[in-house]
Amino acid sequence: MRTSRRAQTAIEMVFILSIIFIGLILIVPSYVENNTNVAIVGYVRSSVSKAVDYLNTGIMTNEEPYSYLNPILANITENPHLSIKSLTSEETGSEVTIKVTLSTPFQSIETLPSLAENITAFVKKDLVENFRFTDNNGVLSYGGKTVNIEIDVVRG
Amino acid sequence: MRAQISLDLLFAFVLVTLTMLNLIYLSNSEIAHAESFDVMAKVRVFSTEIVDHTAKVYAVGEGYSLKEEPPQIEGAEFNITFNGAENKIIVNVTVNGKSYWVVKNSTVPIANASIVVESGGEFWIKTVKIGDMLYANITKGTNGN
Repeated sequence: MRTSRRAQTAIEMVFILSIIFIGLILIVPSYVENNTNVAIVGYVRSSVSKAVDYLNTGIMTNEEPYSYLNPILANITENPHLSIKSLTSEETGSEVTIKVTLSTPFQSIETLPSLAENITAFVKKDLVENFRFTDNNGVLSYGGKTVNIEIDVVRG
Repeated sequence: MRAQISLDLLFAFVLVTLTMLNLIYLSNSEIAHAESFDVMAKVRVFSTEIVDHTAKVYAVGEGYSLKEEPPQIEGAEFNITFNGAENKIIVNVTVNGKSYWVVKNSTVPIANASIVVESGGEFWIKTVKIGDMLYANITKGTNGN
């Protein structure tokens, strides 16, 4: 009697453990995936707001990623009042596409040549340098996902 | 039963740790950003102040000098240039090998001059007469002369 009870408890324990492990196997991948997506959006946002802060302050520096924005600053004489208007992300299995819309009240800023290109170049460089993204011939990836960044500047 | 609780706890702990590590990583980079931004903000205020005071000194006229002190930034070297030909005031600050600079338009006529000063030092903005014209000038002289 005594040994059979002990065996019963052991089998119950196996059941309980298996339920926990199955739960774990189901939860962890989706958690990690979700976590990666959230991290990517967070990093991109942080990087874009760095660029916007830098342009609004108007002080040039030779620090690595910031120097990508200096061609813009050379054409700006006053505060461009840039701000992040919207940030959307589209996630598929292996790709994350993030669209950022910046807004400025000035037409002269909106029509500056290669404004969005320079900001995009800065964001890509910053993500690689400070956030462990990798850059394969211009294709950004993080945590096994391809990251596309589209930046647009509008007025208003 | 006790073993089960501790396993649950362990899993929860792993998930929480994952999130926290990400957060720590993000905050670390934010700190680095904030540090360079601190310098940029100071340079910006300083450059605006110089342009402003130059206009004031010029407005008061001949014989007026104004003492200026650069902001406190550790290990910083300030290089201030008045470019009379293009009427531009250039403030260049070097901190630990990193350089921060800004080019501003002067609202009044300025002479050609360039000074180097460190935090805690001082310099003067004064007027100088060249020919019949009055120009604003910058100098490291002790009393504006």
